[in-house]
Parts: sequence; structure tokens; C-alpha cells
Amino acid sequence: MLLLASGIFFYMQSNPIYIFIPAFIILITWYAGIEIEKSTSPQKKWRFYLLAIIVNIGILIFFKYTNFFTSSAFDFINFIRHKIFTTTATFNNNLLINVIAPLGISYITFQTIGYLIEIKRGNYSAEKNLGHFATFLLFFPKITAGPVERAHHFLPQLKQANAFKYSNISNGLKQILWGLFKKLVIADRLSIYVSAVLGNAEHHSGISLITAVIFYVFQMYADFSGYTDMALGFAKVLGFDLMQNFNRPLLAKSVTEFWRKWHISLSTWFADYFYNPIAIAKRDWGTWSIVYASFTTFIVLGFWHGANWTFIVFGLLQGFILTIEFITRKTRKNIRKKIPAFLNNIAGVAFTFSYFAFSLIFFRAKDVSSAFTIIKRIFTIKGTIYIENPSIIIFSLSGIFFLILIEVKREYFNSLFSLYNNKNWFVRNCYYCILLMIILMAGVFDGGEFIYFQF
Amino acid sequence: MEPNKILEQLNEIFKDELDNDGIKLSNDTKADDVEGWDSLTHIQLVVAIEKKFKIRFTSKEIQSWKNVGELVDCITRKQLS
Repeated sequence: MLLLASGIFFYMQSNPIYIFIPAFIILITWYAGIEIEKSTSPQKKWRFYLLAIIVNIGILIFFKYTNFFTSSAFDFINFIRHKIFTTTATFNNNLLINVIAPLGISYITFQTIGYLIEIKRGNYSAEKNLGHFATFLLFFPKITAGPVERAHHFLPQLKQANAFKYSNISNGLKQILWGLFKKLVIADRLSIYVSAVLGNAEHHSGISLITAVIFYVFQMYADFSGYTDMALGFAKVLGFDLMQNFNRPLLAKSVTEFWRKWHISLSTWFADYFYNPIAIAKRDWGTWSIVYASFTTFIVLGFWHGANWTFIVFGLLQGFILTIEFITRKTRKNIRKKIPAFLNNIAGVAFTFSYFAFSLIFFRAKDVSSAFTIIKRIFTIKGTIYIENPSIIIFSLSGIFFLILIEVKREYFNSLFSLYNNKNWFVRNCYYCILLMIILMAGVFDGGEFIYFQF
Repeated sequence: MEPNKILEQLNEIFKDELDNDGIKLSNDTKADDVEGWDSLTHIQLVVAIEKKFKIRFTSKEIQSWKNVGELVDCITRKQLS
């Protein structure tokens, strides 16, 4: 009850009226879930399922894409006017409505759609308790940017009496601390250089642009995984386990593996409810089914980030490389047998990183042509690296170095030692104090929002 | 066909499709236990299994198996019907 109240309070902070939107979604989905389960006739099941899915997707599309569609329509009208009537006057843009998306709307609808599909497939039973169902969707640590939780993972936890456990609180707080560190010390430091260079790409040399793009990969990872650590940490303090969202993606040895380690709650959502059904339905096409499923999945996943061609190109690039990796998997395996393992690993990680960095150029650019400008300048414009203030570069590089160090340690030497959970009280607490001190001294406190809040 | 025989033939299909001679399936084997068995290759495996046993799974079946044992059961049922 308290959890639900805090979720509602959290939601109403930005705009109180907007609470009616998730409330409406919750009511419809909750009611449809019960009816789908209860109905004996398949037609009736379908009718409720379809209705609830259409309402959910409709709300998502309305809030995320209305601006895109109306402004595109206005552009089109103006284009026609210029061409046909050769008038320079533009159509009255005051008619343009500006729809502001409610907080975390895409995360909420993804969770409700997943829930409906599972009920429809008969894998899980519908939630009867409206309060519990509402708490699942309005659980405040995950409202703004996920993880895209599964009802059958979260709801059973809600039903167990959450006994106060010291270990939950201490583990949760530790995770929050590490998340804060990644966000304030690493991501927001990196963002200073990234914005300075990528924000004015036309004035910078190739080497500065490459540096900024590499920084952006780390910024993105530190920002998003930092947020996730905090969300998971807060949930843990309250006694809940949320889905893992990142599993050291920057150490992935192929792009296919990368997508199994990056934004896991969303990529598994797409695998379960989008990619697999398509690939299964078209499986008689052989390899083409994989190609078709990969491309459609990643185009939709790209478009989910926003109505902009840049995201479509980002999605196409992922679909393309996944297909290539799938087709060449046997050949690559044979080549790998002839080369020492560590060389393989390094080459794989380096390729995956570079490819992802390349695709992020489109992800960040405001339109496709400016992304191409950046790429062109990277290869053609010589010059020295832009350093306005050496301390920014030093902070950025130290942040990246520390992040890589921790990731490599956790991936390969985790059993060796631990500062975080060191048995020695003194060592453990010293480590927390040092992290906290660095946050207070080197953290950026006006760095602004998390990147993924906008999606 | 005997479940053991099915398991044996499945093992051959897996070795072939995933290009890994080290695979040794048992009824308890899960996708996570086999290197290379993921949502992408799962579909390829399904296609190969359907061809070999001359059966056709439903989409629901393909997404329902939790381990190799359930897959074997499903094939046995299909062959009987």
C-alpha cells in the first residue's frame, strides 16, 4: 500500500494530471488479463486480448509519435504549397500540438504488453489484486527508465511478506553507491567533452571526434548502467529483486553477445515477444527467417527510441551485423581454432566496441546527415586534438580506466578478491569511503538527466 | 521411437547444427548449458529436428520447452499421433 502510494506520489511530481494515463492503462490491462484467463471461448479471449493490446500500443504511439507525425504532415503540406503554389508563406504552425509524453510511458506499456502476451499464451495466471498489479507497474525505482520488469518475476515477490533483512539494505546501498559513482563521476564527466565536441562537430578535427565518440560509448554505459544500479539498489533496500539489465556488455566478443548483455530487460523482451514469434512463423525460409526477424526487430527497437531516422539507421546497423555474424558463425569458429584464445578475445572485444561506437554516432546525432558529417570528418579532417582544459581529459580517462578495471576484474578475476565485500571490516569500509569521497569531490552535480529518461 | 533413441539423434542434430562435437545432451540439459544454443540458433535446431523426425511443432510448443527432456517428450507425442 505504501509502495503504491509512493509510486503515485513519485509519478505526480512532474504533472499531477498525468497520473490518469497509467491509471487507465492499469485498469484496462488488469481487467483484460482476468477476462482473457476466464473466457472459455477463444473468440472472446482474442477480443479482450486485442482490445487491451490496441489500447496499450495506441497510448504509446499517441504520446511518443504524435509530434513526429504532425510535424511531418505539416512539412509535407508546406512542401506541396511551395512546389505547387510557389508561395513562400508557410502554413500556420500554431496549429501544431505539442504532446508531452508522460513519465516512463514506454516502460509501463512494454510491461503491460508482455503481461498480456504471457496470459494469452497461458504461461502465467492473471493478477486478481488490482492494488498489487498497480504496484507492479508504479514501483517507483523503475518508473522512469526500467528495467522492463516481468509480471511473473515481480508479483510473487510482492505477495511474500518482505521481512526486514540487514543484508538487503547493505547490498542495496552498496549498489546505489556504485551507481552514483558511475553516473556522477564517470558519465557526467565524460559528457562535458562529448557535448563540447559532438555538439559542434563541424568545428572539430577527426581525432577529437573519434575521442568524443569513444567517450560517448563509456558515457552511455556508465549513465544507463549507473541509473540501473541505483534502481536495483533502491528496490533491494525495499526487499525486491529487479531484473538484471547489464552484464558487462563492453567485454562482449561479438555484437550478438553484446545484445545479450546490454539493456537485457528490453532485449529479452524483444526476443520473447517479437523476434522469436517472427522467426518461428517464418522458419521455413531457412536463413532468411533469421535475416527478416533480425531486421524487423532492430528497426522496431530503433524506432522505439524515438521517431527519428537516426534511430532507424542505428537499428538497421544492428540488424545487419547480427545477420552477418549469424551467416559467418561456422567460418569464424574455424578461424578461431587456429588463433590463440586471448588474441581472439581481444579482436572480438575491439571489433564489437568499434561497431557499437560507430552505430552510436547515428544514435546521438540530431539527424542522419549530421551523423554522416561526423563520419566524413573523422576520416578526412586532420588536426590536433581539442583540449580546452587538460583536467577534463584526465578525469575522463581516469574514469574510463577505473570502469574498465572494475569490469575486467568482475569478469575474469571475481573469485580472487573483493573490495566491495571484503571480509575485513576496515578494508570494506575504506573502499566505500573512498568511493563516496571521490563522488563528492569529482562528481558532477549539475550534470542533468539520465540519457534513457527520454525514451 | 524409444526416448533414448530420440535423444541420441537429437545429439547428432545439435552437434551438426551448432558445429560442436563436444555436445552431450541429457534430459536435464538446458539452453544455457550448451554453448551456442540461443534464440537465433534455436530456430535452426527446430527446423532440423522437424525435418529429421518428419513432424511439425506449433509455435507454442517451440517456446515452451524448458529442457531437452521436454523436447524429447514432445517429439514422442508427435510421433504417436
